Formats: sequence, structure tokens, C-alpha cells
Amino acid sequence: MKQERLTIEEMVLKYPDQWLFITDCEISENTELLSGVVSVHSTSKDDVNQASASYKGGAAIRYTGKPPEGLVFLL
Amino acid sequence: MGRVNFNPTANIIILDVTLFSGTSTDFRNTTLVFDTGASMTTISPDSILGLGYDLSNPKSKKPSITASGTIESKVITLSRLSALGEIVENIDVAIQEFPEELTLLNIHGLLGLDFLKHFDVNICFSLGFIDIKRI
Repeated sequence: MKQERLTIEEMVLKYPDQWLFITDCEISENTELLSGVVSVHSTSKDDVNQASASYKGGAAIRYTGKPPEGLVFLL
Repeated sequence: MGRVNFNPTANIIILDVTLFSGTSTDFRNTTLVFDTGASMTTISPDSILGLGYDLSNPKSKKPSITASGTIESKVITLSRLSALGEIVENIDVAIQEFPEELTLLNIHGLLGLDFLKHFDVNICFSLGFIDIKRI
């Protein structure tokens, strides 16, 4: 079965609050991830790390949770 | 010259970046904070899983002064780092674990001055874009 290509916005809607391991990435000339195929989705980051550690090729990792508003960062 | 849009009302600028393996055949696209306060680009070890970098045998270890104290960072040389549509090759980066609270915000590191200093960078907060041009 052919895996579904999704934009980042579609991934956020389809897999809310999850870690994604994304393959077959479409990346813009400005280095922005535009779309890809979600190969692994999980609420556990360990599952995505495991996929990444064993994958050869190009991939992306994202978390789809929405950040709370008003956070202040002091990095 | 490249241009990347960002949300000027956000409290932080997070950029997509691509980190390459030693042979540049494999890559991981992840997200770092645009941080002119960081001397050195810093990434989490999870960001380069599968790319073949041996973190048990770093190039060096450097003391790093952070907001919460001085720590020792492992340093490795990335073959290529791409951000804002530009590439810097053979760039030394510090490896640091980032708190889970930050990774849940898609913050996996800091894009620092060692990358940015290769370019003229203009940040337009009124319209929300960054222009970058190699020096």
C-alpha cells in the first residue's frame, strides 16, 4: 500500500500531540520541511528515536503538540 | 540571497535545519532556535541518530557557559549543516541534551554565531522575515 504524503499542517491535524518520524521529505530551497510520509507516529519519543537510529536516508522529526501561549524563553 | 518567514509575534524564532551524515547521503531535518546569544551551534544527540557520528569519541570537549551554569560539551564536526537555505560545511557543533519541555516545543538545539557569521543576516520584525546573504 502506498503511504500517504502529507503537508506539515495535515500531519498536525491527523496526528495531534505525537512524535513523528517523517521520510520521503520534501524540503524547500530555504530548508523548510514542506511535506513527507509519516513512517512512525507515537506519543513516545523513544519510538521515533529508535526509528531514526536504524534508518538510512533522509528523514525529519517533529512533535505536533501546540505550544502554550505566553511562554518566555531564557536559553 | 535567501528569505525565510517567521512569526514576529512569537517569543522565539524556531528554524528548520538539516544535519547531514559524514558522506552527506543521509540527513535529519530538525528544528533549532535562531540564537545570536550562542557562540556555538548546539544540537541534541537525538537529532543526529542514524547519521553515523560517534558521540563516544568526540573531537573535543569544551566548557560552555549557560544561563544555569558552566557545563562541559562534547564537540563533533558535522559534514554539512543547512539552514535558511544556506549550507556551512565541516562545522563544529556542541552536543547537549535538551530538557523534554523544550523538545516538546520542537526545540532540539541552538543555531549559533558559528553558522550565522558566514552571512549577512537581516531580521525584519515588522514583516516577519529573515534575509540571509553569504559574505
